[in-house]
Amino acid sequence: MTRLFLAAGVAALAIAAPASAKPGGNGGGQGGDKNAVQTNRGGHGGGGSAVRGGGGNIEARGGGGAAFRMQSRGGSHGGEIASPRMQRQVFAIQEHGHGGGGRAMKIERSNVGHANVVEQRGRGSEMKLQRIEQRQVRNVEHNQMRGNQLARDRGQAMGAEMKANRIERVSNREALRDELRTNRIERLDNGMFVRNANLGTRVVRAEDFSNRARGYGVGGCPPGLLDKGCMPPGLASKLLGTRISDAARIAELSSVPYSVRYLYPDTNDFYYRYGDGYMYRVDRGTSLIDALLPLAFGGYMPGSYFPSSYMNNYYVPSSYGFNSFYPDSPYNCNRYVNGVIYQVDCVTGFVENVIPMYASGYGVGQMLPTGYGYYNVPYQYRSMYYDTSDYGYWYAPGAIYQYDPSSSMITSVAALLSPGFNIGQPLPMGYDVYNVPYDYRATYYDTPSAMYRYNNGNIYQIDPATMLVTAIVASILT
Amino acid sequence: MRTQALTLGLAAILLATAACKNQSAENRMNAQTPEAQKAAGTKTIAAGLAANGKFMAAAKAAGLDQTLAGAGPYTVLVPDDAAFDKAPAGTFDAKPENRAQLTGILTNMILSGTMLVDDIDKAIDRGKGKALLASMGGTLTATKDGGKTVLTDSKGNKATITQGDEKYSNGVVHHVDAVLMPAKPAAQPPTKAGQ
Repeated sequence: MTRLFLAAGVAALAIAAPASAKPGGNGGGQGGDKNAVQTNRGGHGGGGSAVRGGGGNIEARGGGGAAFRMQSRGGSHGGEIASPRMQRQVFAIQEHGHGGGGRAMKIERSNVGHANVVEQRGRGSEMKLQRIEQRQVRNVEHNQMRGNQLARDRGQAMGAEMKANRIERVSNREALRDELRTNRIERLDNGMFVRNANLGTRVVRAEDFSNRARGYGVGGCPPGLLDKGCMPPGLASKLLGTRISDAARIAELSSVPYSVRYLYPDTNDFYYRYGDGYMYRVDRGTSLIDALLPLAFGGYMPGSYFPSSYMNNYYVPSSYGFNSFYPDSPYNCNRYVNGVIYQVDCVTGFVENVIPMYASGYGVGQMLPTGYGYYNVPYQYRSMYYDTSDYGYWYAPGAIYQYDPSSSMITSVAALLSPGFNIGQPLPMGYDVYNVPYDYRATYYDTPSAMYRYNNGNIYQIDPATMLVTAIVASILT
Repeated sequence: MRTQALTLGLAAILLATAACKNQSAENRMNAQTPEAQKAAGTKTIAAGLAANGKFMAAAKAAGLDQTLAGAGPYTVLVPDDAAFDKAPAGTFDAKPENRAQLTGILTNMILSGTMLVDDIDKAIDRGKGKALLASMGGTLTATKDGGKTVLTDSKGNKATITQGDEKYSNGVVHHVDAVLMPAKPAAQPPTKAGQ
């Protein structure tokens, strides 16, 4: 009966102990006796878990098995509330701690004269404690890994949040900048419209200036270079002798397109790069730019000022029909110097485009004039020279050029054309010789009353008395 | 193993792409619409002239090989290789920086339409010993000298037709013994509008 009461009391104490134990109570009681050492070991289970797991509550419950003793000895430390997962882990530790509690009951029994049994059981308990301790260490390590995982997850979440905040800040900044820029452009546009109103009908000019205001102009490129990739000639010439890697920071360089690579073939000594209207030859040994070939042509480059003295004298000649192909307008003044047509802004005097004439050596490997990127092949040649995805065709007095659409570089001369005839005009100089193609000679041969000459796909009739072109009698290409 | 297989596959794709690009580049070099090829006929001037001759080499460098393979018709004055050798050093150099000059020289020897030697001679007779021929790069003067037809450029260089009337589907070729140079682009511009 006594035993029954004792057992019931101990059980009650054991049940009550965890509840009465102070949070954070350290199982590490101080004492020199064996039991105290054993208790201390039991407490270590909790302590270990506290240190490694980082959960104060674990610490309290870890020593829960011997909690009543901790309370009596006053050994306690504050603790914190752990996460639910930690609490689950705590239960496991608590069970191990109960091992220590069972041992305590046996100590009570030793007080009533079962010292031997207690000693034997105490040894068994010690081994058991060691096992428990090992298990606790494993559990604590596992717990630590989970804790670390949690910390990592939390860190990642925080990192993502910070990143999102950063992106939001950048977006806000960009939005603000866009808004400011829009306002600026709007102000400029308004200014231009005011100017436009003052200038009357110059709507096209106003749009042009407005475009210049958007990021170009001051500190940027001269207006005429907008379409040519923004490389002033003076700057381009300074790239001579520089390393290609340094030049690539200034100019937008790229490999020569396949379709025109045969015109600029790489050798063992050098290779080519192109960009911004120039072809750069690079020495393989030194990686220095050793030659600069302008792909556009002429003495005055787009963006430079055309001499005002030339404006009044250097008109496009009528020979070869150049003046009818390049007529002046109120805004564009075309001038001709040394085989090159310069399209000049009549107001500002800026050269806007440079169009070399074929007779002066313009040809393959050079760039299509920027103002004439549209299909303009004469009608009688259109069935033979039409644009495809691989190449396009462009006509200028003297030739039909084939060009690479990606680079606008001329890849070949598809046809050479002589200046066309107009009905009623005198036969131009140089057509003294009969030149009608074989297949038409039986029909169109010279007589005292009519002469025939071939020109650009057509056979023309000429009056021998007046030497005027009187009719087109055949078109041999259509 | 898997990485190796992936690397090999990638390399194969890259090689195939490069091959396609090269093929595409070759096609583009000879790109000509089928209609233009049909109009040019079966044996064009470009096909008839010696591919390894200096004239065709220069024509290729100037991008004029397609012109001579096109519909035409053209009359082409072809200097023989010895005439090319007589020209100042570097005149026909195919370097990119020399291409403009090369183009100017070659186009000076290409004329619009079909002119047989007999046509030129008749024009000389009508013109009392002289006829003017408009080439793509300037104007040539035709005369007779010792029964042979002689062409003179604006610089006074003379070339005699040594073998004429070589007919092709897109024109005719006359072989000459010298290179005819183009006039230098006019240094003095016209002083009045429209002139």
